[in-house]
Amino acid sequence: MTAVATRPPLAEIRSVSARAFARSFRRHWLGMTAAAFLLLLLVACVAAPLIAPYTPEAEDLTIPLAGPSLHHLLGTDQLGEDVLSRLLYGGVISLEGIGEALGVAIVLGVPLGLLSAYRGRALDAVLGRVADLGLAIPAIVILLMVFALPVGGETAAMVALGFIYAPSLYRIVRGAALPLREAAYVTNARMSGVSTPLVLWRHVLPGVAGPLAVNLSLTAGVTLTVQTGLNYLGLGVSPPAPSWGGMISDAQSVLNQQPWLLVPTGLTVALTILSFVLLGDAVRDSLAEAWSLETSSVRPARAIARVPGPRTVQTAEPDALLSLRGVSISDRSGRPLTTDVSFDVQAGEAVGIVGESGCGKTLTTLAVQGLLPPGTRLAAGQCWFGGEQRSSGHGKRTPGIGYVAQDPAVSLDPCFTVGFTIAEVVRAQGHLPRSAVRAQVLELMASVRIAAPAEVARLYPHQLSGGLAQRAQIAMALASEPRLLVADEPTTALDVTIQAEILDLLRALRAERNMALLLITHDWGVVADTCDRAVVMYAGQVVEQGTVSQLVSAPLHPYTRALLQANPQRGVPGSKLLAIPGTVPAPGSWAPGCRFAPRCSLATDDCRAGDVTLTALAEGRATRCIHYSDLIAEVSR
Amino acid sequence: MTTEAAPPREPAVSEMLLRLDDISIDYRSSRFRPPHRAVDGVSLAIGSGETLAVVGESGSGKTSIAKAVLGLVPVTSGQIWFGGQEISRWRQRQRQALAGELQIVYQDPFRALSPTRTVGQSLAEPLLTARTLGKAEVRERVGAMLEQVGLSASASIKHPGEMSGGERQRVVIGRALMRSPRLVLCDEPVSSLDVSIQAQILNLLGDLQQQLSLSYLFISHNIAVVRYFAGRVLVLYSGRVMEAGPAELVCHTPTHPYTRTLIDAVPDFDPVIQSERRRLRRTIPASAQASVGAPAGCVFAARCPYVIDICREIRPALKPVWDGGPLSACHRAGELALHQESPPA
Repeated sequence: MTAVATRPPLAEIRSVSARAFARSFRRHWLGMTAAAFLLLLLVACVAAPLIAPYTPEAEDLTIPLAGPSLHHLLGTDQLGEDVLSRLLYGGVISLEGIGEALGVAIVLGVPLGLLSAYRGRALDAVLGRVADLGLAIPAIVILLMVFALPVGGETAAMVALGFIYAPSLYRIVRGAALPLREAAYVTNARMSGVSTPLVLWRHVLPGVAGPLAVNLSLTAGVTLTVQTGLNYLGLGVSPPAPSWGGMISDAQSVLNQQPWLLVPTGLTVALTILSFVLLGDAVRDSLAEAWSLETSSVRPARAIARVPGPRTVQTAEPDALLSLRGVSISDRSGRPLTTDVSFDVQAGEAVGIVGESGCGKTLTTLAVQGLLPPGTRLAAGQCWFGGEQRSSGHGKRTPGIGYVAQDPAVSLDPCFTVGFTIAEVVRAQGHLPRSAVRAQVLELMASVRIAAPAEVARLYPHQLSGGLAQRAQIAMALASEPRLLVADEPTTALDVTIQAEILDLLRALRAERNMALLLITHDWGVVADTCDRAVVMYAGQVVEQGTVSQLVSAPLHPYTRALLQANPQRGVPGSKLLAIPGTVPAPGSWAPGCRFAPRCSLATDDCRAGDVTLTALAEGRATRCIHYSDLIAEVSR
Repeated sequence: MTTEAAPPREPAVSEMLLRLDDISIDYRSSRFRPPHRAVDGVSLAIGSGETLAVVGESGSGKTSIAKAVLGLVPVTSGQIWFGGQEISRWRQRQRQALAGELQIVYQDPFRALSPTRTVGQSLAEPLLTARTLGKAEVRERVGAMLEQVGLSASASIKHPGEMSGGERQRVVIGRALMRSPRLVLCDEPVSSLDVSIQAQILNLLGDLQQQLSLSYLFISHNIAVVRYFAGRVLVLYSGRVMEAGPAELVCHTPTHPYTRTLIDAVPDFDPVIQSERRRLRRTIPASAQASVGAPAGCVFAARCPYVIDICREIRPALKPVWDGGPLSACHRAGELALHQESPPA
């Protein structure tokens, strides 16, 4: 697999996409079964003249309405014609019809839909109106008119059906393609002079393929139903020529004498429609998965997936508001996501959790709140809050903890006013009369320094600026009078000036309410501005903790030092920043021994030899580095 | 490497690669409403091999300027000169001829690459479209470029979904450089990345600039990144230039209260310095936004801690604070330049 070629062969590059799709499609057994069934049906029907035991109109009036037998595997109908043969010959007409209708719909609907979304303006307006007109015409009227024509018959009807479907396909394609028009990669391709058809084919169509696949599969099913219905009415294919609709009609007329006759045709039609739908779903799912990391990376072997338990028996700090001891979180397969996380937050204290994305910062705080996402579990360790042990990390939300997420747009429901959303949280705290709820909502909003609470309460989230929305979210978190406020990157999405205001607010609230603060961030400036102490996490472990000034002025873990040095704030223009080489390893692919060793400038063989423990140095100060004395020496020099 | 070199000076007009003269951009949401002016009379110029940063908060018009340079939004008035040609009213066909010289790196590497195309396909596309090279040469260039941006050539058969944000941003940069452009617009190229990866990408951009003598129009909201990376800086607020000059000078001793506000808002990671900085910070809440389309006066007046009567009546012109000094659009620029109480940085 690791063929490191300096020259990537272009032909090979091209086939990778198709291979990625095939790889993930093979995993959908329902879709595979459906595809196999449809393929078998198609082959059997096309090969009907070769494999059918009889011609479709070979009557044998001596054995009308016979059940299945060796001579007639699926029995015979009123005229003694072989049902299996008629099913196969009739299938050609049905499948051909589906092909014609879908073909016409695709040829018309897909390119026009793509073009309409991509070009916009006049073309979009005109095509949109034409499509609306097309949707307004009742299908049955068109079909009956087509059948009234002297020529054409079945084929003409199916082509007409394709024209009828085209507008709705056009709309679906256009709708799915519209957001892609502004996608950076589409703009980029257009600007580098790639022709419009190529841009649409390469960059836009793949993004539309998912909804298109689902819609086409549904349309195929509907086409079969419509076609069977028309044939049932005797339109299109005139008996004695075989058709599935005609066969159902025959079977229905003798339902009392030979109910079996309905079974082969009915079942075939039902299975075919079901297969179309399952195939569409599988194609959609594999399209979505084909290019994501999930399918292409090899799942970690179970062997690595052991959760190392805490070495020493640790007891929770009795006086701390929040106390984590040896918290390990793993996913369903047992792959560890965080291991042996221990730290305390005292009442009224502000603690930062610092680290790059993917280090387990958010997951740890979710476990604290009892909000672990589905598919993850608390594998080991204990979590104490306010002197009580929280057991599972799941299910029940820990009371007394407020939560502020990074993006206020996600936690404020766009359908309700800000006031209503906050009121909902206030009501959840206990029964209060309406006026008291309102008063409390306004008080909460005033407490987060919203200048005109009554007016803002009437606004919807989309009418708020980022800063105001974040204040509203903090007001919600305060409704339960939390003793601990967990804030997950509360200012990352905001402008620096707004960030400063929100940090001021958090600091003020903390002092007013004697509320502890657990702040997740990757920005040391934010930590320095708001926190007393910080916990540095790397690859699911705590690697260092201490007061913010200790960490900033004399980091005792190379990762902490590297994070600080990478910051452009202290960078000298013209000279290079001290970047950390490489990236945070994904859970499960952690290096043995010290997990930071592969990226560390101080790493030696000792580091890789075995797990490194968190060494407590002084009150509240700890590091997970065996070379920390070198760092001390470096600082004092 | 030393930083003792003379502060970057604005190159002479003839050396300019890109020049914007008094650009204004309006967005019209409906026929019945007055248009929203996103950019109002902005002029700037970038010489070859130079980095000019445009810094400002969201809504300041930074991205609109980049879009106008790329021809993605029409300019209402003003001119855009690129390599000696006025391009602001060029049609798409003419624009495509520029694609080899003018490229962009976007903020979000997740949206900048086609998810269904391999890295190799994405990199090869600009060259294959230009049809100047044969397939074998393109293949070679793809491999070489991947190595130049710090990836291995074998990455060409990966899909963007299989890569980390930093690796993807390297691919985006590589794609922009495939046709050896002279100017690269960097629209917040590092703000969606972790701090360690941010440093890697800034180093890469710096190396590439030296190797290929690229010019960057570097759009950012992070003044710390701008101070480190850019030669000159343009501070934008509400679509107008507040201050312009050498990055080091502007970021160290700002002469405009808005620049000051931006700098003071960035928290320093030393708690001692930060608490001092917080103590000295003078701000008016950002909620006191400038009234839309303020007819007269300074756009920043509503949020300015140094506001005096004249600020609300007469719009300050952008002029040098002292001869050869930075440009500032503030009536009190001279006073503020002398009256530095900026905490040590």
